[in-house]
Order: sequence, then C-alpha cells, then structure tokens
Amino acid sequence: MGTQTRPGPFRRRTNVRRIGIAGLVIVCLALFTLYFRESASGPLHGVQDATGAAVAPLQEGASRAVAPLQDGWNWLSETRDARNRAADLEAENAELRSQIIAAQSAAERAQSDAGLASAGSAYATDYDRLVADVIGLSPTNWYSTGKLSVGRDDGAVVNSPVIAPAEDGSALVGVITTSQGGSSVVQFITDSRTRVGATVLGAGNPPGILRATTSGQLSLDGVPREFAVEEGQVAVTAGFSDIPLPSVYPPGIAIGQVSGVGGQEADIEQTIQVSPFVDPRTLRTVVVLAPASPKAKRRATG
Amino acid sequence: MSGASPGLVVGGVSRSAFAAPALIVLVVLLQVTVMPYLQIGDGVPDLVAPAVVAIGLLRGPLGGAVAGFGAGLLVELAAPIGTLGVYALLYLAAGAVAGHYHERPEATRPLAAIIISVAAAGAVGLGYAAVQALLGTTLGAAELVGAVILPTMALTALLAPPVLLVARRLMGPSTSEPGVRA
Repeated sequence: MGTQTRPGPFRRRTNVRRIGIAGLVIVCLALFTLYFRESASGPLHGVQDATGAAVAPLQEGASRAVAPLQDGWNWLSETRDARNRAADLEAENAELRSQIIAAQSAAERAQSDAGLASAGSAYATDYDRLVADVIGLSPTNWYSTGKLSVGRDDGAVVNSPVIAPAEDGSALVGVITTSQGGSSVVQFITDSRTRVGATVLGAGNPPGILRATTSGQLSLDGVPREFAVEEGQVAVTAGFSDIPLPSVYPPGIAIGQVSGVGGQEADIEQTIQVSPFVDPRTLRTVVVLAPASPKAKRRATG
Repeated sequence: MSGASPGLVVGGVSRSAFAAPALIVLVVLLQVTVMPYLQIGDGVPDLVAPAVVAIGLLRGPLGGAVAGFGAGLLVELAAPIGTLGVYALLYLAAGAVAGHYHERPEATRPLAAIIISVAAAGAVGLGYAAVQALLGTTLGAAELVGAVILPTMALTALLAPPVLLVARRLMGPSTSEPGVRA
C-alpha cells in the first residue's frame, strides 16, 4: 500500500540527489580544468594563495606545538636507526672477519699441503705416509698430545713416528701412543713423557736422549763433553734409544736446532737445549709414518 | 512526515546545517596543520575521509557528496597541494558512496563506519595518485601501496573512531532512523 504512494516524492528526491551530485562533479572538473589552464596569477590560484595565507598562522602554531613531539619522535627514530646501523655494521664486520679468516686459513692450508706432499718422502721405502688432520689437542699444558684423523684401519699403529712440514723439509713432532679404528693419539715431543734417541749433526754423532723441559723446549741429555756441540747445529733422531734396543724413530729425522750448550766443567755430560722446528700446538695437519717394511715394523714393536 | 515529530525534524536539520560545516572545517584544519606531522613512511592519516563518511552515513548520498566536495575543496585551498578540484571530486565520491549505505542498518555499527572510512582514505589516496600519474608524476605501484596507501589506511584506522564519534555527537541521529528527516 505504502509503496503506491511513495514513488512520486521518492523519485523526485532521487532526481534532486543525482542532479546535485552531478552538478558538484561538473564543478570539480571545471575547477580542475580552469586551475590548470590559468596562469599562476589567475583568480583560482589567488583564492588558493589567500586561503593558504589565512591558514598559515594556524599551520605555524601547529608546527610549533608538535615540534617537541616531533623532535622526540625523530630522536627515537634516529637512535633506533643508529642502533640498527651499528648492528648491521657489526654483522658486516663479522662477515668480513670470517672471510679474512677463511682466506688466511686457505693460504695456510695450501702452504701446509705443499709441505706435506714432500714430508717424509725420504722414508718411503720403509713407511707409508698417512696425511692426518689434528682433530683435537690436549686441553691442559701438563700433557702435550693430540688426536689424529687416521687410525689403525689406515695403518697408523702404536709407535708410528709423526712428522710435520718444517722450514727445511720435515721435522719430528711425536709418536702414536694409542691407535683406534679411525683415529689415534699422538704424544708430541714436547710432552714430558716422551723420550727420543737423538744426536747432533756435525758434532761427531754424539748419542743422547731428548726430552721435553718447559714451555715447549727440549733438552738433549747424556751427550759426553768430548763432543763439540755448538749452537745452531741441528738435532736429529739417532735411530737408537737409551736402552740397547732400536728406537721407534728411524734415524735422520730433524727435530730441532741447538739453542744452548751448558753444564759444569766437572760434569762428564753436557746440557744441550734444543728448540723444536715445529711447535705442536700450532699443528693442523701432520704425516704419520706407518711402518710398511719388516724393519720398520720391528722398530715399532720394539 | 507521517509519524515524525516536528521538533526532531527541525532539530535534526538545524543541527546538521551547522554541525556538518563545523565538523568539516575542524577536520580540514587538523588535516592541514597537525596531520602532516603524524607521518609513517610517506603516509599521513586522513581525518577528512572519516568525517565525510560519517556525514554520508548519517545524511545520505547528497549530504555526503556536498560534505566531501566542501572538505576536498578546503583541503586544496588551505594546503600547498598544487591542484584544485581533485580532492573535492575524490571526497565527493567518497561521501556519495558512503551515503548509499545511509539506509542500511549495518552502516550504523561503528566497525562498519571505520571500515568504510579506511577504504575511503585508501581510495582517495589511489585516486589522487592516478591523477598525479595523468599529470606526469609517477610512483612505483609497490612503493605507492607500501609507503603511502597502506600507512595512510593504518593511521586512518587509528584516528577514525574519535572522528566518527565526534561526528555522531555533532550531527545527531541518522536521518534514516525513525522520526528523523533530512
């Protein structure tokens, strides 16, 4: 019922609404067009400038009112940005550091590999050369041992000599004391328990026993005073030990350089300090001389 | 007229006649003075959109269109924008579209008004970007949406409720409610 009486005024109202909105749209488009067609000194620009000038004091007041808040916000933002930047730079530094370390490591590895390739080649007839990574070091200073990545399955048996590249060839660093399937333990020559039958080149082949003293140094004991040992001479394995048995080390492996000769005049033996060619604490790769010939195997079994 | 109290009709119209312009002037002043300082990214909260939407919802398409036209024109006159008639047209459209929900009961719900306000702010932003593109000032779509439109909509969503509340208080009940005529 009601719908029959409504169409007239309802339609009229709708038409008014549509005409009104369309008129406003036309005004907008006209303003837009005129504004862009007129010059900067045109009337519409003038009205805009005048209104802008009228509102300017309010804008200035608002600007001053919000300035402290804005400053506070800016300070917080800048502080946050600075922190983020610091964190980014720190991360970048860490990345660069790791790259430098990786590059240094690769260079050292290359140098080490070049030395390993030739280390122990003089003993190739009696020993198999097993290149091994040092995968662990003794955590205390009391014992100087390391764990190697080769073991019994690779041929590394107990009493296998261990050498490493040195400036002039290779040098003795220790002996295998424990061997398991895939790993073994090397007792370095700087361990106080290690004894090596040694001699000094150029001093008349004097017999002596090398043992560790302190802070990575070695002492060659038992060398009679009649042998003229001098600083700078090289100590090498003698091939025999302090008992009438063959040493586990084949003769001629370089150990270190004589750094001091001492002792009392009345003593019948000299005290000879030897600096090892290789510092076992810095080793990352070594060569295990695994006995291959019957002679070498006899040495290893004692 | 049937069933309408003369006092309410007269009261509603007279209130609206003064309240709507007052509301528009107030939000435009806030928009051109304070809002530029509440910037996140390149987005600035749009107070005009909720005000125009509120008027449209309360007074219908024509009321919304007139309010939008006036508000947009005032914004362009008061702020150093460099156009005239563009915001007027865009807010006009926003007010007219909001006015189409005038007689729908769900439009009286606060959440619906907020959603329409935020959508209107986004649409006005996109429309203005389109006009700027026609005038030769282009912005990457991702940058426009990410740095301008979305922050504007988010900030508008935060500030729309108080604007809608004030509009409702100033304008009185909707003319679609029983007993009230525009």
